[in-house]
Amino acid sequence: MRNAHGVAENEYDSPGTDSLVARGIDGEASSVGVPCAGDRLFTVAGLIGAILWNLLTWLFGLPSSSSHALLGGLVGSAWVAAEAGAIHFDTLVSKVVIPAVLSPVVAGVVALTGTYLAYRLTRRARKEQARRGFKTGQVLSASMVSLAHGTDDAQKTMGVITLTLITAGILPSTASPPLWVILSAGLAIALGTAVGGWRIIRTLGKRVTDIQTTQGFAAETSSAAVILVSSHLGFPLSTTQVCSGAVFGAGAGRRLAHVHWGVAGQMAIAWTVTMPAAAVVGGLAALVALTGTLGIVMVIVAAAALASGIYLLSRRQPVDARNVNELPTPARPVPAAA
Amino acid sequence: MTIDWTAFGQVFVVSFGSAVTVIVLFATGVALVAADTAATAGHGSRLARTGTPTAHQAVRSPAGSSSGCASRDPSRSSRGCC
Repeated sequence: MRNAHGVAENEYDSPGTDSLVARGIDGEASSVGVPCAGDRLFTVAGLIGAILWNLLTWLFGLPSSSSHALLGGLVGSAWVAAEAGAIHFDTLVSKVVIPAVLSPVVAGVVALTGTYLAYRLTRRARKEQARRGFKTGQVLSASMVSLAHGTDDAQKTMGVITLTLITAGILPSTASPPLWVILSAGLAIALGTAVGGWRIIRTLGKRVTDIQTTQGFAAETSSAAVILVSSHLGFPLSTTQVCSGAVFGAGAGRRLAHVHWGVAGQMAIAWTVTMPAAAVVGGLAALVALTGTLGIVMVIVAAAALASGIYLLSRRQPVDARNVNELPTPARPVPAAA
Repeated sequence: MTIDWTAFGQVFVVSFGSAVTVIVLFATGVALVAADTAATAGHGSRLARTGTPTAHQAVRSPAGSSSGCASRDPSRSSRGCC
């Protein structure tokens, strides 16, 4: 995986993804479409695009890929910094777009089969007894999903922080992430999930279909298997899309289960526009930031203001552990920003 | 543009096999445990119907209760209160 394709080639890989993300962007190699700018402004602009898009989709409870947002933001800022010719669109399609289409399909088929078999095998068992059994199993399967998530997405966070440290001259270009970076990345993901994950949990747990413990166990086991195997074999699949596809598969695997395909449509739209939208924001941020110090300050202030605004909007209808299982069924409108 | 379909096929086959195996094994275990519990519960209810007081009933049924065996004369039947 450690070749000249940089981020694209390595972005989803488990072993060493952290340093590869950093090298892909900053080193001699070019990434999925990102030229070797080696500039902190370029990285910051790309990150701003990713963060704002992720916050916006989070506000609407839509699980969108943070990896795609990150890549989109970097592509946008790179486009502004080094023009479109520097972007490898063919790599972008083969390493990002096609896996993005395949991810939910693979996970969905696995989860659908697993759910069908689980219900089939336990059809004569007492419902309450089976529910309790699968609930216990979910402790393990959810832990496996967390492990898979860590081996995949946490590496990217470490890569971005390491990249910033390298471009700032604090670390040598061949450095691996320091321990504090690893701990910070893990802590940030855990905190983000604990504090802000409820909107996404509501969407996947209630709005897509009313998930029962059997389905939850099957979806989680399928997601963990697909993510861990794809990470190990080096085929880039998006964690977000794998988990979402598995939930849809688990929903369809139960007889007579009602799956809200309208929600699937909303997710598909969000997934489709994630990269372009993040690229536009990243490009705009780079455009302003490259004008000078005032531009940098303006970008940072604008990003902070927008992020705060999105957070304040989310407080109008807070979702937390107390109400995560309430309401859901009526589908919300597709986000206008999409 | 090159897509590594071999890797994709491997991912699909290996993840499908591993996930489905785990789910089937676990579901079988759950079914067995639940079936065992159901059989025990069924046996208990059969005993209750036929009248032999279970340990549960002997402990829980208050004296004088219209539904418990303790209110009846066990000497009327060798099988208990019925």
